[in-house]
Amino acid sequence: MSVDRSENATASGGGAEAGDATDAQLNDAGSATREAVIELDNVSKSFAMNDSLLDRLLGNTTSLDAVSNVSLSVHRGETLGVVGESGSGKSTLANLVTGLYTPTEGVISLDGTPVGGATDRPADLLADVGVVFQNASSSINPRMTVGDAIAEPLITQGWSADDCEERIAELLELVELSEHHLDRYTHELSGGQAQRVSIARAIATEPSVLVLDEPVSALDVSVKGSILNLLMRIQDELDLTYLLISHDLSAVKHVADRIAVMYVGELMEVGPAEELFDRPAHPYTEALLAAIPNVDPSSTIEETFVLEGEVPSPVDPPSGCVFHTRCPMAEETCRTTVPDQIEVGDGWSRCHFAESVADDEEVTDAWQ
Amino acid sequence: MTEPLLSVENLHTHFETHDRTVHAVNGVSFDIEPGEVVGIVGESGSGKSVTARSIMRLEEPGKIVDGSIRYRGEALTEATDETIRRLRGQDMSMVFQDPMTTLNPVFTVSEQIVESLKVHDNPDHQPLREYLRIPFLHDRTDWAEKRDRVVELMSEVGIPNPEERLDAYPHEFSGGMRQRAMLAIALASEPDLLIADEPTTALDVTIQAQILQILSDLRASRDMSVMLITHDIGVVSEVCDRVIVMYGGQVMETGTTEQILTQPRHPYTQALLDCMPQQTERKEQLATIEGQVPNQLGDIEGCPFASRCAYADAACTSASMPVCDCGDGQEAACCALDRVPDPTREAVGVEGSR
Amino acid sequence: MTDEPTVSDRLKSIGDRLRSVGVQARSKLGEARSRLVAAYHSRPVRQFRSNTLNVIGLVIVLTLILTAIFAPMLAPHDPEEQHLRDRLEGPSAEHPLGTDQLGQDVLSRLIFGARVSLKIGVAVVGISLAIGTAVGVTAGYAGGYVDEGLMRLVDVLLAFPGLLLALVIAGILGPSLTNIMIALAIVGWTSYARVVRGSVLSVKEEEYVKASQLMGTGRLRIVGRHVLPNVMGPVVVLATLDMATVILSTAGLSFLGLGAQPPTPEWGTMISEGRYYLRSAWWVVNFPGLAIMFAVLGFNLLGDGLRDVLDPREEESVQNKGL
Repeated sequence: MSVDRSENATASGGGAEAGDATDAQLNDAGSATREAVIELDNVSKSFAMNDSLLDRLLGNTTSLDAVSNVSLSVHRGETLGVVGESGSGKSTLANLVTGLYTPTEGVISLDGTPVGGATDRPADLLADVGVVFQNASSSINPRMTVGDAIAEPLITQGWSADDCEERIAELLELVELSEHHLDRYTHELSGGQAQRVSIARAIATEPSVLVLDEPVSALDVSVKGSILNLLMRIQDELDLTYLLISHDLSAVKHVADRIAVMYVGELMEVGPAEELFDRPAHPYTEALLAAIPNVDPSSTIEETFVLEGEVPSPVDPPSGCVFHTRCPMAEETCRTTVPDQIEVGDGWSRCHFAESVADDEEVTDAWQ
Repeated sequence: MTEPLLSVENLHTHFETHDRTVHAVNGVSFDIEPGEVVGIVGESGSGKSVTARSIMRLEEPGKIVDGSIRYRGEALTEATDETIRRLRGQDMSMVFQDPMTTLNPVFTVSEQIVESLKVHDNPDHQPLREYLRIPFLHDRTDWAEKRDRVVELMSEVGIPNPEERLDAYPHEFSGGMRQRAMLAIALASEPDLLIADEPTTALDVTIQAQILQILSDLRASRDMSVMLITHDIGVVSEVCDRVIVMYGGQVMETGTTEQILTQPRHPYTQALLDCMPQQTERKEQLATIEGQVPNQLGDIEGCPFASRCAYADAACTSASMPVCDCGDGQEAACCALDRVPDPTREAVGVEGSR
Repeated sequence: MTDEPTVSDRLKSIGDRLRSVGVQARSKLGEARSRLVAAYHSRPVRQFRSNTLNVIGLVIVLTLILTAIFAPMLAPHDPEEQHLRDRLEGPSAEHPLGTDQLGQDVLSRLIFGARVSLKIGVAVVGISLAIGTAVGVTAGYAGGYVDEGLMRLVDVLLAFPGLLLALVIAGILGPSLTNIMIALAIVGWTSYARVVRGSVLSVKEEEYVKASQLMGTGRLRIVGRHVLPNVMGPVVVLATLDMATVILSTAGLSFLGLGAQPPTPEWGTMISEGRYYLRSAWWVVNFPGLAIMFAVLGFNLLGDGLRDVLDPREEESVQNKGL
């Protein structure tokens, strides 16, 4: 079968390279078999900008590359976290996988079958990918009751009324809601309950993949945990594969097996979660981690390394390495040459100095 | 310290919906000393933002029904509109959460900073014609004089190349830049108290870190007090001296940042800290707080957290909570502190993020 | 042998059945009652009730509707019965609102006039709404050239002054109530199309529509389940307010002689016919005028009230305000 057509998926040799793999890494490798469920091969998505009529006539169109040349695979049963700031293209990536967008270039495969946009996908493939959006109150029709909302995908798949009812009862139990929620509207529910409803709707048709687009970002701290717990539990019970998009690094760190870091539409680094957090091999990952507010009272913002400048516009991305405009380590080569993927540990990084970045000492020097 | 800069006592702010009353702020008391950075932490519905707006007297459509707010001894709850306006122009400034909507899109950013400077110079004289761009009628010679001051302010809040950006409109600024511009506008009036209402919530983490760093620098260079409202305990720990934890419109616990983070005494603070994913091993079940935030409709008897509290008993839902002194200025509003474990535990940092 | 049920058995079973029907009916009644009580206390109704003006609007409109339905029972006289000897008589016990120039009872004509006005209002608004919604949804959801084409047609129609266009159409078709209805509907649907298209464009981008597309739900189903219910709020409000406009336009066109022809009891016609006697017999003109005013006022108040209530997220937004 397709064994990682793209080189950039995690080291295909598995344990061979990771001679000194920790227990945790072995566990990760164990829970995620090597079979790729979602596969992105050199996928790009660009949007045409609103040019003036004159420009359009003259052919001077500009476009925004929301995602460029992304190759990535998500293995069965694993959680792949995609992190990045706004404008990094992580939501576009989610929309490409679900089929809301069709890629401008490249191929997306689900279970080895190349797929197009949602309108071109056969019903069973649509049923195979569930989506949970950030805000349940906007992703569930405000004029639909909880019961109707959960039933919708089932009805679309042609389930009979009796089967629907049975399945809904089952789903409610799975997401820890009770029967009396069925007649409620989402605006009558709390944020956490509403998100449970949208999870129930997403898993109604027994998909094997769940795309989670910022599933906990709109929730309070005390509720966030319960939704993450729920997501972890149903992943185990239903053997789901997650593509988790989030800017909340601490949440991603908690549930993801592997993490992909995006910046201005490109992948910067991909690697096992623990490794990526402990030994980031890309300066951008470093900076992102440093910026997470710390609950350690001894840390103060004065001592924290703070990345300067802002995310460049994807309409006119920087030459060479897209991060060079903000990178404290940038040298001449970074401005001119696009870095290759360099394998570091079980993952890879797209930095000319990946090896030395992964080596803690030097990096900390660079920051100071 | 003789007199606190700001003193809020037993503040009650209510909202009338068409047939019910929402008790958004329900008996909040705290002080802010000069030069102090105080963090107010709470989840949505805790009343933290309404408290801030009540201090600025922007509580509409809510109503302050009881309690007092004193700024340098002057009672804001009884002050005339004119006094309030003068205070807003010269002593207190506020920065809001969403930088996308708080700047006026039809004026350049520098014009808006100048406006704030002018209001500060002369709060009672703001001729309308200066704002209308009508030839011959509007005279802006003194606006030009303020140019240097604007450039200074813009660079102070970290807007790069301020000279080139003087004619920029808000839509030409990114979210982080707009929040800096808001900060510049707030600072133009040289406030002694800056109220920042979730200033970084709408921003990316790297930009958030930049803004927090600027706030922290400003506080050092200007000797002003900052009241930082946030839902993120992490943000508080980065910049604040003291923390006020709010829940259900009431203050649950106050203390220094270190006390709150390392030895929280109130069950709610403890539960909130336990909820942070950093406190749990990867892939393990996260700690959560069962139950729901109270809806604050009508009178609330007893402790608002009682229904979700692991240590609650009958006494917690009947009487109002006593404020217990836990030593070294730490206070917790709880009637059952003897039942709640006293954590003299070690600070737990974010592992991995050095 | 004794399989034949005895008379007493039969009576008993009938009695039982009757009793069970009674019990059922009573429980049904109780259920309906409790549902009504619940509805009365539900949020939208409470909110609607909280504004006195809304209630006044509702009362006026309900009165109008009931009057129209029960006109034959309410009217003291036949509206078209002429008593030339009793022409232009002032209000009296026999004719509470007086008689007109043909000796017809003004009150009876007003009561039957409500029928005519409502009939035309409902018909015109119904037709406009149906056409406008269909066009608006098609344009908004399909987008592209379909949208362009349909909306330019709407623009062209809107470029004519509405009432004038109706006047021309009614003039060409000849004066009659049916032709007025046709004229007003041709002019009226465009505003519905615009409102619906606008709402569809924004609802189309909502996440729940995207979520539904990702489930593989068909276009028609998405329109029916997600788009239409969420655009109908403003349309219902518009329709209610439009009732007022249509009633006014009908009266206006009839006044000009293009609508109802005498002796049809129509408010506009009544004013038109009675205007020569304004100085000697004020009641002939003023009472139909008041009727028009109240009808228009009623529908406008009701429309405004509905506008405030018809958003299910209203409550939430009130709660989130500043919290």
